[in-house]
Amino acid sequence: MKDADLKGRGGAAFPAGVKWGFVAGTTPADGQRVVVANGDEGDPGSYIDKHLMERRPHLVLEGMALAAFTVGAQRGFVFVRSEYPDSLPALRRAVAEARAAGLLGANVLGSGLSFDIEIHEGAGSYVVGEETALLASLRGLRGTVSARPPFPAARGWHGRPTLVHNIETLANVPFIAAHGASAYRALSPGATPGTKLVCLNQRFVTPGLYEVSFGTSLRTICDGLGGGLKDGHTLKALQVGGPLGGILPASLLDTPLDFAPLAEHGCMVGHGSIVAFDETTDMRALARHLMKFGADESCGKCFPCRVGLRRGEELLDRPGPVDRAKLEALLETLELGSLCAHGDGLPAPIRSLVEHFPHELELV
Amino acid sequence: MAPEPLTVIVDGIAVRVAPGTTLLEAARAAGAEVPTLCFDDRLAPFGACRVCLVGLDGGERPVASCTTLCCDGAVVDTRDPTARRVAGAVVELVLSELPAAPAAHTELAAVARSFGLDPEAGPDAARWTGATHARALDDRHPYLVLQHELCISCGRCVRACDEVQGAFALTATGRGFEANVTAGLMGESFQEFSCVSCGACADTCPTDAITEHLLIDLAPKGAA
Ligand SMILES: Cc1cc2nc3c(=O)[nH]c(=O)nc-3n(C[C@H](O)[C@H](O)[C@H](O)COP(=O)(O)O)c2cc1C
Ligand code: SF4
Ligand code: SF4
Repeated sequence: MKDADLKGRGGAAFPAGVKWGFVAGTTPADGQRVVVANGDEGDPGSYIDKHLMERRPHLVLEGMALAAFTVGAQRGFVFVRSEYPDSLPALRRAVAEARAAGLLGANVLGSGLSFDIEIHEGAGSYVVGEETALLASLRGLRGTVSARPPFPAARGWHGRPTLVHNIETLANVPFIAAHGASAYRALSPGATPGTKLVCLNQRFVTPGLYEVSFGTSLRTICDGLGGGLKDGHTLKALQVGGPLGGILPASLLDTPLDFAPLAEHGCMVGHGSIVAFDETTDMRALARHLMKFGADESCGKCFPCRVGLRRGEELLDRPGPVDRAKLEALLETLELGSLCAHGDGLPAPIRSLVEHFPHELELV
Repeated sequence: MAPEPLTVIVDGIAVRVAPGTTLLEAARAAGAEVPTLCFDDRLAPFGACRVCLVGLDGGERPVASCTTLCCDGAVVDTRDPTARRVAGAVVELVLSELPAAPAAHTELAAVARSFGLDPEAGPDAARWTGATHARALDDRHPYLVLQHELCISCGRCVRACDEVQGAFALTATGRGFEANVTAGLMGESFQEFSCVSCGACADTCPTDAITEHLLIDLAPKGAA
């Protein structure tokens, strides 16, 4: 796993092999460790995990079982977004099939190892996708973020060392186990190893889910796979990787889909959603909408995000010019003060809009 | 054998601390003043208010000192300009959410003054203004009053009730700007729930959102 250099697909791109090492290296008093699959997929415009949970549930369960085998976990949970009613039965059916085949439960395939998986329905909150909030929600508590450390790898579900992974990350594991690290790296030569699932929004001629190599240019993805925009519209900008991702103007469409090149433009791969805005999009309205989304979804734990995102929404909502110094001081407070990547990440797309579309934002 | 102590430099002063000590504890041991709002040394650190930000090892990103553990040789700067600027902005945001200025004797007012902000100035004096919390008074308890509009969701009352008293009478509710506290889950007053009237919540509340009824208010009407 370390050689394969699988990067977490949930947004933070943390190397999975390193995280497995942390969890495997713990010494829990009762020997119990836990694997949690994060299927809360809340990014607007993202339906990657939905596809995997509904169409490839065994791939996800196999990834969990391989992870459990490696780190020494006995229990697993899949946390499924409540807005995905078809994902629950698909996963439950797959778990039942795996148990019947002796692949889950006590003494898996006569190995003496036990591992079983429970499917858990979420309660409808964006920030519950954040791992500490997810673990709180999984225990029936209010879905708010907790300060790390302790990281879930050290103290997670009911205090046990817990490996939390995004669904897509786990779906990469069976390939690595079957074909090895070099075959995995060869999927994206000269770029981040493996492949990435991306999903295109309804503005494209052929919206949908595509699997691409890292390093593929966004132009190839948008024009080649997506067929460009519908009804003769022209692309104005893209938001890649969810609401906390920066916004890339159409002039930078040759940027490759990969962590470093996107970061150069204040953007990220994130979870892989690609949302196109056409020439009719009002960027001030977009900025306001993003702040409103952030404020509505803030878990309310830390003060900068709890109050600051609401103030940001109000600042952009008042008709007329926006005081740039006030906006930027607010963005800095959110970025450097927030407890989690929600409040700390929402300024990224606003900063892109400030940089590329200052007149539309009416900054003074 | 006790574990080896660590050495931490706070604003140029070396202090020896036990492993597991937070930067906040080390800073206070060194005599530095670090303002806080959600912290109470009787309770587990919470990491919510972000007012205790300090500079660490010369890095660009300030850290919350209440939830960051000391490493040997750590260099803490409680006057780091970025940390002070961001923490001060957070306090300004907090003043902007209350419909009226906090009482001068409250911890919030003192923290505001420590950042050079005028706590008496009211919500409109903040750089960012907008909605304030709607006034909502819960005075059904014989000794305790809850003014929801003064609540800044620091969680201290809930944690004091859970961790100090073990009564579990209070709970955090809502999310984002609507976050608040309530007694019980179903709109009961806390006295109907599991409250034992210990007053730990009122004692720790930094804004007087929970206070004790003044004894004078309880005197029978007409008593001299
Ligand atoms: C506001 C917020 C929302 C998040 N939502 C999700 C999510 O829906 N799905 C997910 O897998 N990770 C989400 N994450 C990231 C998780 O905290 C965590 O990093 C991830 O599940 C780890 O898995 P990975 O290493 O496989 O990426 C979110 C993080 C934040 C801060
Ligand atoms: S940044 Fe927002 S979502 Fe994250 S802990 Fe703070 S209030 Fe909650
Ligand atoms: S009532 Fe007071 S102590 Fe309780 S959360 Fe609100 S401000 Fe904090």
